[in-house]
Amino acid sequence: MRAFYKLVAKVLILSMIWMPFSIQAGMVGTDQVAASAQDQMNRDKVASFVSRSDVASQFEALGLSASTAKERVDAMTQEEVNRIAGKIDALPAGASDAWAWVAGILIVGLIIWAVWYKK
Amino acid sequence: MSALYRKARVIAGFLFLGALLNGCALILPQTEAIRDKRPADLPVHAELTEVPFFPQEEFQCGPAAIAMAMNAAGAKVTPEAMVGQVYLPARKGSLQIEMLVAPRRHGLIAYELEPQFGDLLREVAAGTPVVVLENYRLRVWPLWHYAVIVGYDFDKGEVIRRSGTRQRQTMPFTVFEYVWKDEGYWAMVVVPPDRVPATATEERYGQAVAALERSGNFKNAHIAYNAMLGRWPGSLVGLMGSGNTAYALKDLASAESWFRDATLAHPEAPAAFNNYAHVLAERGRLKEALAAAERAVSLGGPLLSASLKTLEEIRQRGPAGPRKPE
Repeated sequence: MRAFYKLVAKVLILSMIWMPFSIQAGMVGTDQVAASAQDQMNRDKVASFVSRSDVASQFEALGLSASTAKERVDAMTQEEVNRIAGKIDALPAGASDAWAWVAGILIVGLIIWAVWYKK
Repeated sequence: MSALYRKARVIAGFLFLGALLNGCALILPQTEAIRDKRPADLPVHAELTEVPFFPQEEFQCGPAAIAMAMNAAGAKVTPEAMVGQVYLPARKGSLQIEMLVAPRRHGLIAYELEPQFGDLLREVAAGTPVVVLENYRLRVWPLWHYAVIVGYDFDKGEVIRRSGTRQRQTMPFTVFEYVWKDEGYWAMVVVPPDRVPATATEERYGQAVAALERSGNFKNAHIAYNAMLGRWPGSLVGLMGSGNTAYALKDLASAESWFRDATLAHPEAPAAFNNYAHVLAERGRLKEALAAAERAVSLGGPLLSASLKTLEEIRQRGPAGPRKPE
């Protein structure tokens, strides 16, 4: 049953991918005007198809529910998806709690003091 | 050969000594640049006392920081509500991309600043708190943290931050640059749609608004495109965006007027003529529509296929256009 839900979720994710592309036929979207010439040449719908579902499943692996993962990926532009696809584990994730910074700032403070004030 | 080698060593030694003496400028170049010579457009102090404070729960500085910036921009959100939009449980943290995406879901505009200390202070002086990504440890062993810069003081040489569980913490420019520099001086602001960030560029702000438009919030995107035209009169993205959002909001008369303005201000932009033709045709003005569509096609460009399609549609629709022989 779980496998079935996963399949349904994946089908839904894939079906959502095409939604951002459904501009009114014949009208040129503002994002096409705003994008640099390079971006326009890089637009590849096949690549986008893969990376959107990739990012959603990476989000799921990092503890989000399927529906939250889909919502969060849907909120991104294609350029944003491309920027993080495949490297979410390596990107900085701002996290430190209230106490961890004390130790860090002490080290940093010492370095600064040594370099800056102790001439 | 060995003399040459010795000479090279001496030169290298001098260079190294020079680097040590200049250590501050090498390690903290931005502080060095602004500390002694304050940029003329910056007031000596600024502090945004009205920016709300949310103390962070463990690891959740991302939701807290983005909630502070969003509240300052007029959205009533709590850090708890933002957890589901920017927090990744297994990473025990928040990605920069999601910090930039989340405000858009609430109709606001997130803008990534240039990696410049001066620009950060300019935004604060203009009334916008700045979210920054800091590293409390070393580049090779990082401890990332989001904080919100709400003020600075050139007399004391410090920035004023909301961070973690501290509502108002001051930090010397030097220490701040040291913790801020590791992720390429990353900083962002959140603004309501009617306000353009003080340091925004037309190109990147246009892209930020286009992303808001694409997310389906045409009302706020329309306001933001109008604000763009206030900052950059005649901006192609501002005019086209105003037209496209008016069109999406089913205000065809207004869309026609925006696209006409776009064709007048940018007679070389095929997208302007294409969309103008499209709206004219929908309003039943097929003769004018045909002329605009032909102009779009004659201008060519990377969007030529859209222009050809528009022209073909208009030719098929009306008796005004010359039909191709079957």
